[in-house]
Amino acid sequence: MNLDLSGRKPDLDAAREAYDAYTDSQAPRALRKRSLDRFGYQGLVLARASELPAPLPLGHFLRQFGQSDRETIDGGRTVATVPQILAMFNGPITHAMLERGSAIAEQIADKPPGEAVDVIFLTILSRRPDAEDRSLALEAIETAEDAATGHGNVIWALLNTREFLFVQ
Amino acid sequence: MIPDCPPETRRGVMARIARSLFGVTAADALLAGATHGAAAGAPAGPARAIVTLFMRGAMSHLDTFDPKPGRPEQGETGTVATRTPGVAFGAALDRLARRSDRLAVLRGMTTQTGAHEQATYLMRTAYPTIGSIRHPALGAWALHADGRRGGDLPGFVLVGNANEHPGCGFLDPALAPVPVADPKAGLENTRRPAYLSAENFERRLALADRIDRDFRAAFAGPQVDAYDRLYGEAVRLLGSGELGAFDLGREPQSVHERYGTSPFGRGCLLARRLVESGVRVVEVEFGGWDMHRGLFENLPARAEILDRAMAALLDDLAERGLLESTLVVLATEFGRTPKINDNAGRDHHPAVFSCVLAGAGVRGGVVHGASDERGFAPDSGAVTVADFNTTVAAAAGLPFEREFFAPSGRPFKIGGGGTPVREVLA
Repeated sequence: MNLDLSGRKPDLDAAREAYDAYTDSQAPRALRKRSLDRFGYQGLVLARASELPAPLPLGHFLRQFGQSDRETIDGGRTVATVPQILAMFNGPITHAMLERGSAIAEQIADKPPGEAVDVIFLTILSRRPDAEDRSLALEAIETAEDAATGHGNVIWALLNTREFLFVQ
Repeated sequence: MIPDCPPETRRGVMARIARSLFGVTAADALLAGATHGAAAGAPAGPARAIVTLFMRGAMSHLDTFDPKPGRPEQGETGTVATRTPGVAFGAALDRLARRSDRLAVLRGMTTQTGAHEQATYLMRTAYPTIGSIRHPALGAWALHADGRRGGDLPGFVLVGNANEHPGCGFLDPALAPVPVADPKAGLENTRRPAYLSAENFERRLALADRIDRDFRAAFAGPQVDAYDRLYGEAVRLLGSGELGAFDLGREPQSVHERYGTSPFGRGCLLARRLVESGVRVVEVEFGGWDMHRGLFENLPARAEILDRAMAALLDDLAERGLLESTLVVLATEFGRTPKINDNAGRDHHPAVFSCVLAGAGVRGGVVHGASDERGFAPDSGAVTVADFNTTVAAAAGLPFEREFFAPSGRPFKIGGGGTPVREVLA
């Protein structure tokens, strides 16, 4: 842009506000993507799939789980693969959930184990633990080296259940 | 499942966990019993491994393996003489031309459809797409009929875009190809995070299994079971000392340069490393052949990538003595029109196209079949996609005449019940 601003004092704050309002409302995809970078984690943007540019590059978490390559109609797939499971085991998206700063880790950081277990189950499986689940999870938290490790183990375990993967 | 595994190793512990949590051993024993039946009618083909180079988008036959020099249909593509007398290739396939004594070129290939998705499916499975069943790809068939070769490594690896791949079809989900999206990155997420001890990982797995038990019992079915099987596979792989096979960083720069630094070149290099480590079937996908416009500008560069990578693959396999036990297959969806369209491109043409075989089980320096003078239809030696797949199966020693039954009770044959092309088989 080559605006001639000579002789006028630009109101930069106002301009920035207007710009932000504009990008928030009807920004083209490239600008929206830039604003999404705020949610970056280990090279990934943690946002809704519908907010991300599509198709994502091969090897992205969503592509691993069958996102369409958009080359043919209905090109998505629901097939199980080994790399999906490796991503659930060791991938950054699973680990983002275990670290301080994630919504779930912040929620449970200072809670007594019983409440923490409720929050973890409701967050990941959208249900409360039954009696057996509760005793297993409590045992996992109480026998861990520290609370954070115990919480991490329970979160990880629930993310690696078929109950979490499948919509019932 | 994992033979002779000392119980004190981490790998052994992992294997025991996989067994107890996922019932891997029982399922495998059942499968083994089911698959080691009589291989009636199968020749003793020597190919122990198969590398398929799949050209997505449909590679033009006229500009690669079946040129028509002197004809107006040839357009701007020049030709290069091969080591096989009287046989020329498109000018960009210079390296392969010099190795034609290793190649069996099928110039009379013909298929049923000019639609990408259906033709890709047909080439990979030898069966047409139908709504009621998903057929297995050849790699899954090979594992089903003949077992794996590598220890803990997967038996079937797919390099490139895995969308639309038929995978294991109706066979056991553990036979599904392991997709590697980017050969440079290899198989990702195989390393346990530094903070996580082996003991803690096992605790997590055990906890997940206990909590998930009710769900798995209530919703048992093929989709949930597929994940159960693959959790076992993934745990087994994590404990494997053979994962280095996926690491291209272990190859010297000079080798990278011979294959080319394109994703396809790297894919071929990865295929060689995997075959060396005992992987049974590797498929490397190479897209971008759908040249409806500007073919004469775009094709030379693409064909050069193919030429360089495939020539390096053949050389490397031969040098290591692996070409005697590895079948290399170059396949595509269909051909492209002899008539050059208004955008200087070629459109879809299922009537005739070319595929290539090389290595174990195959005669080199052979051209089977011919298209007519325009490259429009087969003149002699027409080969259907089922015939081609059956030929591959025969070269790999798979029981192509035997009927296998899908869970629905319907019978299917490896290669789709075609006739093998004896003229190209060793």
